[in-house]
Amino acid sequence: MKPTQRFKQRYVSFSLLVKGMPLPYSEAKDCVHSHFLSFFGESGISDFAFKFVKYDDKSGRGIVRCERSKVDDAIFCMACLSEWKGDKCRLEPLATCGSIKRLKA
Amino acid sequence: MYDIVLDGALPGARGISHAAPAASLRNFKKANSQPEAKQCAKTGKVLLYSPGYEIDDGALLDVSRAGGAVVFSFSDLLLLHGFRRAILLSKMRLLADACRRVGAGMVFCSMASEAGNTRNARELRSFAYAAGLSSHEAAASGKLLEALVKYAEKGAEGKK
Repeated sequence: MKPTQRFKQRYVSFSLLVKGMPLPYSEAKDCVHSHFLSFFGESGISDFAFKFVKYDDKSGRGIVRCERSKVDDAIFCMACLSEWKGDKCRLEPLATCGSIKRLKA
Repeated sequence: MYDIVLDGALPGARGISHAAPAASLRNFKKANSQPEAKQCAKTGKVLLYSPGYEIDDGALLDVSRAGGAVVFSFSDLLLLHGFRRAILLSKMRLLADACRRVGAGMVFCSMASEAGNTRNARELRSFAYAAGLSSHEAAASGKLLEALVKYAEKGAEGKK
């Protein structure tokens, strides 16, 4: 595949809190995956280059990857999450960057 | 960036320099029906909020002439899920398109009534993009909200 044909990616860091507490890794991954899937559908996710990159279950902060032109859609999707399994939930986008290294700094 | 909230005691989220309570803004008008919206639209520099997101072109023209703006609330989206949320978003897109056609202003705010519903500046900008605005229009809508809130608060101070 030519480099120009590849997805141009962006990394979005987020903070995920349910009732003010961070979720364990597996639940956080399930929460983010199921929310993105219900928001965009299978077809939408396919051209999203979506990946749950990392998550720290102590701080509740993590990183997701998405396609460059879909960053705003991803942020809007995150902002629309207000409830998870009947509890108040907040998935707040914090910063957007082209590399994980710069996002961590 | 400015925001409009329902509860005056709420702190502003990241990137929100001032969260103005809707009740304190004298130009903030809530219209539950189209005739009501038509009446409110003639108010000078009105911030017209219609929860149904159905405002006819005549009222939008009045908003445009009065130098006001139509309010889009993020909290309305949070109240709904699934198809109902999709329908509301599509209504918002149609209204945003109508506003653009007649030259009426648009402002995007959280209208939060509790701390969990406040949204940061980046989220409000992405809400504007989701409603179909370009990056320039989204930036202009942020400035317009600031100007209209300042106008309302300046007027309220003058009356005191």
